[in-house]
Amino acid sequence: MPILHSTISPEIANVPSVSTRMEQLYARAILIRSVEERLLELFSQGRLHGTVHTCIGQEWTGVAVADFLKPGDFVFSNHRCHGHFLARTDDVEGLIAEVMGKQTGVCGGRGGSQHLCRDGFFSNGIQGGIVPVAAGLALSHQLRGTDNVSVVFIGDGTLGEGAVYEALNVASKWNLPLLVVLENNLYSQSTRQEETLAGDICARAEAFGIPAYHSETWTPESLLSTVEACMVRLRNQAGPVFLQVDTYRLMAHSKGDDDRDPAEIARYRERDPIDLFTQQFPAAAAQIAEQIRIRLDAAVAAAELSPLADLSSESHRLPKSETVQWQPAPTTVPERSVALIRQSLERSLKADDRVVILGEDIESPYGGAFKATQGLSTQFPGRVRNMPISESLIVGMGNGLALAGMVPVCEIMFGDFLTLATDQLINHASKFRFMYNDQVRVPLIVRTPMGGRRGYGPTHSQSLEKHFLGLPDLQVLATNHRLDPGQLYDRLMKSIEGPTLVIENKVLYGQRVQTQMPEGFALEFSSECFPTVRIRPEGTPDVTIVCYGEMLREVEEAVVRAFDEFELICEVICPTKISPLNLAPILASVARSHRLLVTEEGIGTAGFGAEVIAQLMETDASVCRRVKRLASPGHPIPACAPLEREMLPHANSILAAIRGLMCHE
Amino acid sequence: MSEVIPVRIPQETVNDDLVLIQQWKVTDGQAVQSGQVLVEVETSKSVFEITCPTDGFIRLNAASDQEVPIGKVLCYIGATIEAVDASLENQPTTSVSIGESIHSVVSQGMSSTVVSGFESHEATPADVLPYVIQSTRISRPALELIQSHGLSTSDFAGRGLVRSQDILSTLAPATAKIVSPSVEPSLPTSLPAAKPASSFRSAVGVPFRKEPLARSKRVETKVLSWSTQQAIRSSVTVMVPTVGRHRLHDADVDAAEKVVANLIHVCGELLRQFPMLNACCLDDQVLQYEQVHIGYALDAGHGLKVAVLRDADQQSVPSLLNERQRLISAYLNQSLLPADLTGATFTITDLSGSGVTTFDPLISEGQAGILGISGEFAIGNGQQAFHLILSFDHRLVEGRAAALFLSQLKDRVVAFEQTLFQATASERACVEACCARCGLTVTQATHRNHFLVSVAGAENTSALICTNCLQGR
Repeated sequence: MPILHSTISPEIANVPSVSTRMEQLYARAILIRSVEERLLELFSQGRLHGTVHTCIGQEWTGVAVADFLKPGDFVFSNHRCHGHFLARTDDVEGLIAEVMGKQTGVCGGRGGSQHLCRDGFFSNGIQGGIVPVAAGLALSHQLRGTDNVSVVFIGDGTLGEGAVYEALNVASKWNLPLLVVLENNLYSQSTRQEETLAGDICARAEAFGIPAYHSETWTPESLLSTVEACMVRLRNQAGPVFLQVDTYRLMAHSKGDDDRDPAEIARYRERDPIDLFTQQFPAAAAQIAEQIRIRLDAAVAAAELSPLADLSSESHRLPKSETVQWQPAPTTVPERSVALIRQSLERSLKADDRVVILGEDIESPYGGAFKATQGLSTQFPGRVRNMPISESLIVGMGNGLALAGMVPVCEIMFGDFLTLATDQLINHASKFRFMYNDQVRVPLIVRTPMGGRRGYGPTHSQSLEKHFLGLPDLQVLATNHRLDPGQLYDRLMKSIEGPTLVIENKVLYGQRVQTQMPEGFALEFSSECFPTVRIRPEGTPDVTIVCYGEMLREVEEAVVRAFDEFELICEVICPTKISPLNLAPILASVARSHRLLVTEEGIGTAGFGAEVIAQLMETDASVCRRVKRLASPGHPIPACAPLEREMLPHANSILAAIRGLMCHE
Repeated sequence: MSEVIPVRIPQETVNDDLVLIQQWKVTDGQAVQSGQVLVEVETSKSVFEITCPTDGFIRLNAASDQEVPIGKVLCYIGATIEAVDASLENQPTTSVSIGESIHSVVSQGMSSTVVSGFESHEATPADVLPYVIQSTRISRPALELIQSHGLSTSDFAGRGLVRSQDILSTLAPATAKIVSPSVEPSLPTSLPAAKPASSFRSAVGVPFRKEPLARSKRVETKVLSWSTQQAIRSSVTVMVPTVGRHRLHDADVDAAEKVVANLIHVCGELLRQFPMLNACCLDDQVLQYEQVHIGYALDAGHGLKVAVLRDADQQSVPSLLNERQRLISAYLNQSLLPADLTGATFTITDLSGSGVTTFDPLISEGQAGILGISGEFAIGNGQQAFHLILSFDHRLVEGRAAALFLSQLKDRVVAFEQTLFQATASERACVEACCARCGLTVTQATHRNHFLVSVAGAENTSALICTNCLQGR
């Protein structure tokens, strides 16, 4: 990595003397500053896209921390990540091409300035959420029994995010090898720290029982020895460490957005260690600068020659319609759904060391609110862990474990609480693979019960999955009473490549998988990995009904009554994978019935039904004469059970909707 | 200890409607002690123990490996086993499960030895569709046609879903014949003798005129006094919201009639699900009727008569509608035959036209229940409602089952009415007949002193043509 040491001539380096190690490190700090100055220059020339957040003035933090890292350590950085990245990887060429949006960039030009990934170094432009991810990376070290560490860089502004404290809490409780480096540059973008920060920074970490160290970038030797002390502690597996590094950003937050007092900036500029080194060792500095200039010219020239990022490798992963084969539904084990899920989790824990389960109240003897993990924590000590009430942390650590190559299974006690983990699903899990240019996979499983009909009221009965449909790389599965959920999880474990949200309707847990069919109808599964369920009548259907999850049971009752009482024949298509959706089975059925009813338990606006109908109309509007959605009205779910039953779509209202579709012609 | 204590399955978790009886720790008939573990019961969340509430002898009422609903009686405990049995014989309701679904795990058609989830299932060429659905389902109207034309359901075996049109296309018109459905239900063979009439005594001491009671009233007294003297009467009531007779009538002149016909039909179906309401308790014995014949009480100036709608559970709504209208006409013409008045297994009494909002129906002799329909009343916001009142013989039916019966009836009635109301409203909004040639609608034609006539087209089709076009103009 050091490119400069051997090129510094002895006579220049002689007076006044500087140690070889410090020379190297200064050279690295100067390299970081030069790269960022070159990026600003390219930006003003219109040769790179977006903006760049520079760390000019803060370079020593990354340099000092990286000097104590070893192979296998993970680093998670933030939007101001160039310095940390270069200090860790020295990949000047990859960074410049990346920021210029070129294919030779470290992430193929997809991630850009804030989203870098190479050899265990990651960055993301979301404040706070990266700390739980880093905690997950640290847990992977602990589970594998190595002395590797996980480092996360945050700023003083990040202290406003609650996710930070969720992570500090568990990192301390579980003794995770996590180094939280807080670069205190006194500003959250433009807001001065005294306006928004209460109390003391280090005291926040200490409140969680985490030892806090304090240093600064203006005295690099002292910073190095402080980092060394932190690392010794971490490598000895004495638990997490918090390191506050006071520093100052000499340039704007981004570009042209600096309202700080110029006199204040000038005062810090006078103390800048790189400027002081240059003044003290002008000849050495000049030589370093010249070497760097040559390297940067070459890097920019190479990047210019590289083609722009393209998405051709992505196109094969986009959802598409696939024709399916149908076969009769197989027989299933006469066990309760929750027992089948538990058994599958047990099989996976036994077969694969990488499987880890995180959730609230999941350890024995309680074994989860719905008992899906009963007994597993005693059977697999350390791999089935009770978490605090911190949904963002649960899924965030899952993200970290997944990035580290583990297979985390996160249980969110009620689907309603998934809102608290939304950032982890939307801004982390669903983006990593793409923005890191396919260098990583996120085999993360999030299990959660949704749905009403239990009288749990407005915040424990919702069906919120529509908010997670259509996210990149995130597949959403929904179990129903016709499908063995244990088999579903077995398949998922074998096939998992990306983040997967599994909606387990809570009504299903206590029930057994049903394969008995009412006379006159056939139960069929598609050939897909996660089969679509079809309830097929003999003959041409009058209406196609599309639903998923526990809605299937109500639909089946309505279908039987529609025939018995009104002689209307309905075919039911119930996908298990509701996102991305395979339209083919739906299209094929509607092409025969010409009428479509989509029903779902959640609120209908911009929901699953809207998506099904939109896709159908875009694909072939001619097949469908009439469409209808039946969903919950747009108010919260009342706790009063009879009122709840009335508002959720049920067999009676489905039957009325079927009749309505037929009457309007 | 003289009483017999039933031990029920408690609601342990909010997520389970059924629990699995794992293992009895006691044997039937043995002595048990207070606090002793009787049985282990499995919910979806846990296994819990049910302990004995008192000392005594136990009579089991559920088997190991059975799946049973919350609230069911698991066993009875009494001072001696004879006392338990004697008590159970005196209370037939407690020894018979009413309207409760009890499935053993294996009886659900799932063999515990077959384990082939979709993971291991390989599609063989024979599996690949299309294959023919073996089972058959016949719609209610189609079943009606099959019966009235003397066909057999087996003629349609393997045809999947069978609708009226399938029956009609099978029928050659020449061979079609109407066969009367069988009439005589299996009635109790011996009815208890009526008690001797008590000697008459004036209670108020004012002058009076003495006349013999009308013969019809004497019969009525005999039939109804049975329920007050023999049965242990109880009743439950639900309020049923309705769009109201007038609005229904505005939407469809027959709508109110259809609602009543549907109510009778649904009532018939539910009596199949709650067989103890379609039964009679006689000398410590339960007689469960094999057919559902619903008596419909009529009283419009010619005395209270109960006309019988036979096999109400099997008949379609249109057919019940016709049959009820026929019986009402016969009542008004006083031409009801004895066969029209005998053999009811359950009764509906309809006072909806009378304006009363509630009343106390009396169970007829040889029956277990009677359903009363009250008049409509306003419930605010322009909404209407009426009451359904179920009187039942508590020896046969418990309040919970009666309530379940009534609430299911209510749900189905409300759903039917809403469907009907929406469907007729939209039909009216959408459809106006028009001339197949010039497109003139009925309204437009009327304005021009023309009207639409139906004409025969090719291949048995027919079309509407306005008289203007018909005259070749």
